[in-house]
Amino acid sequence: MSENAAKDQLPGGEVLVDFEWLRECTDNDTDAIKSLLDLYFDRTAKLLGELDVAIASGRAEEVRRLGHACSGTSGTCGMVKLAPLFKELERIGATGTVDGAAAIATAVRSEFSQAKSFADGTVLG
Amino acid sequence: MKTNSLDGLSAFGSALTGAERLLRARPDDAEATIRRIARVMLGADYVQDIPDLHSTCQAVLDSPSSELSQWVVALKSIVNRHCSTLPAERVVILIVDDDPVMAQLLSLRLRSPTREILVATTAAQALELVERRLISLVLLDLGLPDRDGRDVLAEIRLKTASLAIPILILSATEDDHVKMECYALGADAYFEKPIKIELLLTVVSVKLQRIAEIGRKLRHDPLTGALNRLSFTELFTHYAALTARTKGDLSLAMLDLDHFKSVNDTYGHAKGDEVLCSTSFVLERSLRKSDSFGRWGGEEFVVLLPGSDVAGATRALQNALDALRLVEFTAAERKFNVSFSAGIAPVASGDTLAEAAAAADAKLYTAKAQGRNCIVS
Repeated sequence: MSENAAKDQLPGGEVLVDFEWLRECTDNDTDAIKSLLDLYFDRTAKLLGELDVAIASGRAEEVRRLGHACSGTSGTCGMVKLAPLFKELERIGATGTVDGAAAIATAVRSEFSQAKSFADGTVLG
Repeated sequence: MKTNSLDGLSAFGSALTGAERLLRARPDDAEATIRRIARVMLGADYVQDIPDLHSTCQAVLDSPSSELSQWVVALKSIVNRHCSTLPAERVVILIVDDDPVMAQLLSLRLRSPTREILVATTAAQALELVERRLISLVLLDLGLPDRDGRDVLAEIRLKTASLAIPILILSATEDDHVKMECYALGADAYFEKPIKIELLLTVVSVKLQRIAEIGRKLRHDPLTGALNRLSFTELFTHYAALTARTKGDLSLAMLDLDHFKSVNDTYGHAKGDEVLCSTSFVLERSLRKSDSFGRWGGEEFVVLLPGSDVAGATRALQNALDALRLVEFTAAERKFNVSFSAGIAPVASGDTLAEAAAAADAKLYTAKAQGRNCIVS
């Protein structure tokens, strides 16, 4: 395992942010990674607020749209756990209901918080 | 050095980067890929003009497997160095994506001194930019806030002037029906998000190179290198719309070589062709970079002068006429010079090319009647 790969994992070997992917995307530009992650966490935090409102008011199409938007940008930023959760929200919204969306949103918030802490402790810290 | 070689070289650089990453995991595949790239590069005409690039490609082909990785590093370094120094046509890439993270990442990786990167976050902005700017390539997300990206794709393809622009779709949608629809609407490639950025960069470079090559062949008169009538018409349409919006000046000039028939009759058609080519060369050198000219037919040329009123256009054409008069041609041990007559007309808001050309042609007729070798406005 490379030195970089070791730093990219939690002690149990769990990967929250795929930094190898980010390094490839940015051609190993640490400043660019920082800038992208700053932008990602700011924007996603705002969209999470909109997501809560959409779920609470039962607006399935809005849940689908937000899930789709966050899924794409999470994948771009190497958020390996968050991207599939947002994809699931997109799928739920596409069924025309918000059934089960609140539980997924709770899991999203938890993963988002962990990913941000992890990133803060590595490149953003 | 051909001006479209930069994107070709850039694509090879991206492909080498991908192959280099594979060297440890799948050495046989990577080695075959690297040698294949080196072989194709050796066959590219512009590589013949770059000795260090040529010799390093050859070294990659000749090196044993154990030394291949070091030669790849050397080759990549030379490719990158030449990518930053080669002359290239400036291209404009339009990114259409409301995700600022994606837009920033793409802007970062696509930027180069020869590329201008524009970002539109809505369909309306994108269509406005396509109308207003000469866009070379579009990266289009489908999930836009105001309209579906597929509508944008369809609208761009409906415009004659943008029929040939490569459009690459970027979307988190995996649905094959959506992909098929995009291809049917005129997409050139479809990338699922998260995007494999090196793959995208390679495709962008290759598309830009191809479009430059095809464009040069389709847009220019093969004899003189001037724009042909079709591409001049596209250019006129673009600048006429832009000028109408900005309330600026736009002038059109029609040029006709004086006594050209007697050049052909006296010295032969080959000499006549030489005169036409020299006229094109003089126009290229004498006019401003912002001016454009095309071959209208026979010995007639047409010039478009954005930002010039009739007085400014007259000065520009006078420079060209003065320069052409100085060119000395030789045939059958005789020397001769040529000149042109020109008519200039302002392009009014809403004028078609046919209307503007007719107005300039009327002035040209007056110039001929006044004894030729002059400009009438």
